[in-house]
Amino acid sequence: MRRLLLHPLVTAILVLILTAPIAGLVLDGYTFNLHWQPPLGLALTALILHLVINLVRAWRSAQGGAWSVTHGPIPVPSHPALLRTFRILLLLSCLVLPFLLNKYWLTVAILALIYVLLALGLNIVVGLAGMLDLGFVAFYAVGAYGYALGHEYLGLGFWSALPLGAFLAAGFGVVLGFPVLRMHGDYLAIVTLGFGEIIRLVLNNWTEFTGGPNGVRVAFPSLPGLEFSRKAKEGNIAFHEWLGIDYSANHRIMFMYLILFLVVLLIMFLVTRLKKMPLGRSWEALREDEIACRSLGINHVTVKLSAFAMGAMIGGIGGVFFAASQGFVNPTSFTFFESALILAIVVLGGLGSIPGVIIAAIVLTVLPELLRDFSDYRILVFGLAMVGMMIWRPRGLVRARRPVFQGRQG
Amino acid sequence: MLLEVNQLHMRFGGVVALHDVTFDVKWGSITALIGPNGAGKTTAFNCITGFYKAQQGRLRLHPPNRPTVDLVQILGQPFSGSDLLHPGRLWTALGYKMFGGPHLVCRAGIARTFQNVRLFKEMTVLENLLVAQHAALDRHFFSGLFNTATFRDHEATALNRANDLLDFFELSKEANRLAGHLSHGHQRRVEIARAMCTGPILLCLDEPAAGLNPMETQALSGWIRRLQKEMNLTILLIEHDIGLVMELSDHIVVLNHGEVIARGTPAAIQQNSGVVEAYLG
Ligand SMILES: Nc1ncnc2c1ncn2[C@@H]1O[C@H](COP(=O)(O)OP(=O)(O)OP(=O)(O)O)[C@@H](O)[C@H]1O
Ligand SMILES: [Mg+2]
Repeated sequence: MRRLLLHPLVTAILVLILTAPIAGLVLDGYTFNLHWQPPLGLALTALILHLVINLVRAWRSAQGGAWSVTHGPIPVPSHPALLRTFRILLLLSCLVLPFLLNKYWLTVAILALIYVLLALGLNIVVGLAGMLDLGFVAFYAVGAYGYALGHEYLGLGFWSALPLGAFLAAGFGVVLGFPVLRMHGDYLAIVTLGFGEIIRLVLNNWTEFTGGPNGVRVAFPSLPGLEFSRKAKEGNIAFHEWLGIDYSANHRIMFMYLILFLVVLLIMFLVTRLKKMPLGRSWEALREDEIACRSLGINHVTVKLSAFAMGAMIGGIGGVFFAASQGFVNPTSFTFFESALILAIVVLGGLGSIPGVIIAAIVLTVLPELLRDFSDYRILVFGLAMVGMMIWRPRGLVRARRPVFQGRQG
Repeated sequence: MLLEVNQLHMRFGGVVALHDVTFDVKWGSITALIGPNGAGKTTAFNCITGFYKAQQGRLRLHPPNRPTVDLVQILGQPFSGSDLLHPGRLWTALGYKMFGGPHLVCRAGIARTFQNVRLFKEMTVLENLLVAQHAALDRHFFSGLFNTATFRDHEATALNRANDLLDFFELSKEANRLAGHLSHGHQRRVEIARAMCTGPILLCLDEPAAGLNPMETQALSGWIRRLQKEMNLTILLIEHDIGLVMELSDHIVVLNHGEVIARGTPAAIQQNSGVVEAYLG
């Protein structure tokens, strides 16, 4: 009981002492003025926060250690029919969504889906294969620039750029994979970080080819013979005329959303299947223990490279969609902050867990839009969420589920 | 003769871990490798299973009905001048250099366990056993992606085999639990079962009884016997539990300071004054 009240009080006093000179002293000409309101407010917030945390803790422990991990056999999901209905409803609502949203929220939804793709890709490298990659944005950039430059120099359309960008990014994944085959943990993280920066710097400085900081314009996707503009070019039909409806700039974005949604579904299917395939199992085994893997006849070289290539490929697809949705790419979209954000999504969502990663990706892209008014505190909230998660849910929002096989006896 | 170890040398900087180690493992036997702490037993294991590259020496596996495997060559050796004169040899050497390693030793038929258990802790026991059977599975990307009939067949066969092994080691109840949550004794058993999943000819066990209580050790001894008898396995064993070694092994090799100080039957080893002085005490 004493801890319950005393500790928050101590916290509040500490906050007051620390913040009073910073937030309370205001320079007024040549003299100071002490304003008590801001530091007191901060201290009060800290007091309440700490109190709430303590109360939750007390309640939890009164419930008898509900946090402890279960050590029994892994539970099988109990209501498969319910789960299926839920999934179908979710799918339908995602399909209906673009017709209900305005332009602004459509672009946000597209961005969220792109981050879902990126997170699914990085989830393979970090969550499944256990290789800490801080330069994932490089593959995103390769995909985006693959489309942009392909369009600029070779006149590639969206549909040919999609597989090409994916393969190009996978190739870069292998290129990065080779030198880091023997690296683990921190060393790997640093090398991948460097790789990400190299790609960005090359894009930034190779002005003749990439346009440098000025970026490259990208064509919007279309269907063969159909265009999403008010007036179609010679020989094509404008989409709204084809359907006989009024022109709206939203059609293009809706179309984009629907393709992207389809691709996300495909990639989800791919990753879900991979987890059940020998390759995916080898990735997870590699994450758990590389030496044991090798002792079981698994060639760690091919397994690692395939994880890098597969993750990079998905990142590259995300990049192509990013370029197509923006209509323009330049290197500022591919900074280290993006890598960190994607990594945060994967960690917060739960390493290796597909639903967790998807939820985290959506939350972390939509939430900042909802909280535009507090955009100054975005990073702060982000950090707090990270710390909180590490304390209470170190395995992420949704813990990765293990497959359960029917045993022969029980 | 199944495994031939000839004049193996291994140094770590100034430390000579193995010096002129020579011994054989007979087909179908249980051979024990014993010696005081730091004698170089685990190092010898690591050389045999390809985790260390010995500086000198020959290691050959003579599987029955199959060609002999040079366990040193498949790890990838530095190129020598004579390779340049034989393009064919150069090509193989290059291949092993790029794609060689311990996994080829395993595919040649040697499976091993580790002194400190190395399970895939965040995966279930069955998954551990399935990972080990990857070579027997349908690894085509698209058959896995579309869950074809062949793919499911292979998975079912592998699952069956895994369940058989779990039955054998009395682990059926633990099949769907995370390997990291098992007791130490169970983990050791899972590790042996997992090694068995690779379909080995020679099974190398590094201190399988370490950390087990006397009852568990007794049970383990029974299982090792049955592996040898029922599954026609050859077993190479490192163990500090002398009772277990004397009970099980057909042949004992004693290491001390990286050198073989005695080889022979359990009875002969027990009489050997050098061994008694250095190790048995
Ligand atoms: N990777 C390594 N690097 C440097 N020295 C090593 C390495 N591995 C083993 N050694 C040294 O080689 C010697 C033999 O070690 P080894 O692990 O083979 O002993 P062991 O017989 O298995 O002992 P124990 O019974 O304690 O397991 C020791 O002196 C050890 O310090
Ligand atoms: Mg040892």
